[in-house]
Amino acid sequence: MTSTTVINTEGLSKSYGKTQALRHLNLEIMRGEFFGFLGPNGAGKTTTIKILSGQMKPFGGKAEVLGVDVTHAIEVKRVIGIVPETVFLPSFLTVEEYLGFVCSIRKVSESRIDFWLDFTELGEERGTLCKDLSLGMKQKVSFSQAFIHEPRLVFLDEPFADVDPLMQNKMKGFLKTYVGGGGTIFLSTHILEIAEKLCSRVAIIDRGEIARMGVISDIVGEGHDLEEVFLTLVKKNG
Amino acid sequence: MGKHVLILELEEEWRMLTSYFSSRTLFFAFPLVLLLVGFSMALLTPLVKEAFDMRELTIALHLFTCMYGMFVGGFGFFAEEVATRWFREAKLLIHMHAILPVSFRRIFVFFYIKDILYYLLLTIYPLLIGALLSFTIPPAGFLRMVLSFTFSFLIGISLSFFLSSLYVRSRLLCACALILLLFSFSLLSFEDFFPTAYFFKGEPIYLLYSLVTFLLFSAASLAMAEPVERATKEQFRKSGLFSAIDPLLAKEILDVWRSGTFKIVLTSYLFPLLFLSGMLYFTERLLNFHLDISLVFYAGFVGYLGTLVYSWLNNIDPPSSMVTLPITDSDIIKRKIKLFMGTSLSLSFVYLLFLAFLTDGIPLLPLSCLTMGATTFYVASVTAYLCGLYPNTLLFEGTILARYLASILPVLISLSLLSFMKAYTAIFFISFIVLLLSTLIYRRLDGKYERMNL
Repeated sequence: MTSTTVINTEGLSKSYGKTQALRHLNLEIMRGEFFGFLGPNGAGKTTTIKILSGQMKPFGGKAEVLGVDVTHAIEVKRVIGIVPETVFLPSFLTVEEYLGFVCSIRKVSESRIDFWLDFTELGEERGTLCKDLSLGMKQKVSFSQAFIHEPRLVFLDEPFADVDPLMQNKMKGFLKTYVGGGGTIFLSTHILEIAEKLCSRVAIIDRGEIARMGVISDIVGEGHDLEEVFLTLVKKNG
Repeated sequence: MGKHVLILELEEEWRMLTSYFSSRTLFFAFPLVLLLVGFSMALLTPLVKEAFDMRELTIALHLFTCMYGMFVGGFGFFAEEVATRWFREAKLLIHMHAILPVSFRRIFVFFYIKDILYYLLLTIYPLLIGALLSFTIPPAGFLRMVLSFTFSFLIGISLSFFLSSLYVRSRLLCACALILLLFSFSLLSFEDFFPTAYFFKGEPIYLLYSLVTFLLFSAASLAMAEPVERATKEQFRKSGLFSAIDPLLAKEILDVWRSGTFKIVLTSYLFPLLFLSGMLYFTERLLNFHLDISLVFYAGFVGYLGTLVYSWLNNIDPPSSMVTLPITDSDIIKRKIKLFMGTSLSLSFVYLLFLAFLTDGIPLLPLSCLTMGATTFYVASVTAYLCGLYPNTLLFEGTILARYLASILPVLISLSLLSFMKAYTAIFFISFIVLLLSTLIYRRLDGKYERMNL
């Protein structure tokens, strides 16, 4: 582990009853990386994100995020941003109120709200209750709240699922700039094209274990694409 | 297809109901308790006969059953809820009309039948069977009783279904229908209520009238059973509360106001207080003497309505909406308790003030306020400590319920007895101790919930 290590896990494990969701996961992610975490449904992607972002306690092993032990959930959440897989927003707050609420809790200025309303093209919906937003709009609000305090590390769990292609493109551009500026992204997705275009390094997880990890160009090799590698690895394990 | 859907809906309801309990065995404790209630009520019949006219009591019980049906029969509201929520929370089979080639009405018919079966089998019939087991009711009259109470319930549930269906389409039409119905009822005596008439006269024609009434209301309601979409996209100005007070508390206040939960909170107070008044009236009539109830008794009682209000406050918005933020369970619980205290104390104070004027109890008002404040805080702290943000489900857990009752009942009973004995000094000291105890429990919330994930 070096001074530029942002995420470090050693033997991280988690089980749900008799089902082993994560088996001795070892990861080291550096500052400024766009890290893709890929895997089929039920592979352990969301469980990993939940543990690393303080939403769930691990069963075994150790993990640190920005130097904070992940079992200290509040301290972890204070320094990171999270776009969860299932977006839950407070039903009876307006978009603007919710972003203001996030700023108050995170103790940052509300001056960034207008930027995010503008970026997500939600200016006209600033007074709409979150419960009345479409799924895509909710996803945009969720994206905004994750970055509004300008954290050094953001966990994204399928952040593009409900967003239209135009906004997806805009969000991808923002993420590239963010990483270029020294931020770190941990992206969980099963959309391989997105990972291939955005990520500098990926890990493929299957049945709670890392099946392959490395720089995209090393993993893919000549004349192949990420999908082929992914399918081969997952089928082999199956 | 119909039979299959009905069976699936019955299974779905069964799994949902049993999931509220820690074990399926415990689930059966619920109808068993009702059976025992029915049994005890029937055993009390000879005593009741001395204080009440049995004919009046029978009519009242039928009307009560009808009202129970009305209370649980607001199915019309589903039409609105299904339309606005199906895509977000497609949890039940009833929501599947949106993605499968089946009409909402068709799937809803079975939903309606399923609910009726569950209410009858789990609530009405256990009470009636309990009454039968007491041997005070001859088996010959039992069938008549079952039929008359079943139809009282069915008329109630279908009437409520009908009115709620009208309500979601046109409030004016609903009001007109309600006025028309009230006018029709005013022309009749309670004995003319078809199920009651059948019970007294035993003539099958009244059963037929009951059946037709039920079918007419049900058919009319089902004819209207199509999802109603309402334009709910209102715009709000940014609330000034966020800059004025703690943001978590501001959020809780806006949740209560904008969700309309404040109406439910008011009702949570009104109904039990009406029930208390009715119960005391019944006791006075039954025991045939006047109970001199002091203001302090009511003060203690209103505090206990807190569990209901605290439950409602936890029912508005799931805490998962704050899962990404550096907030603990205890942060939210404490804000809910603050809001609860503010709401409960003001409502209870108005109620006590009103009662103080009615009962000439002004001199007891300061002590009553202390007792009310202490019990309110105590109930909130105990409920929050035992159940956290999930009182609606955790209070069904056997061990939690037992701990809750063991904490609450001794205080409630001792304060009630002391109020009857007019031992005001003792009440003052007990209230003071309860207040201290509540503060201790409140402080322990951090220890229990500080590190808990939302």
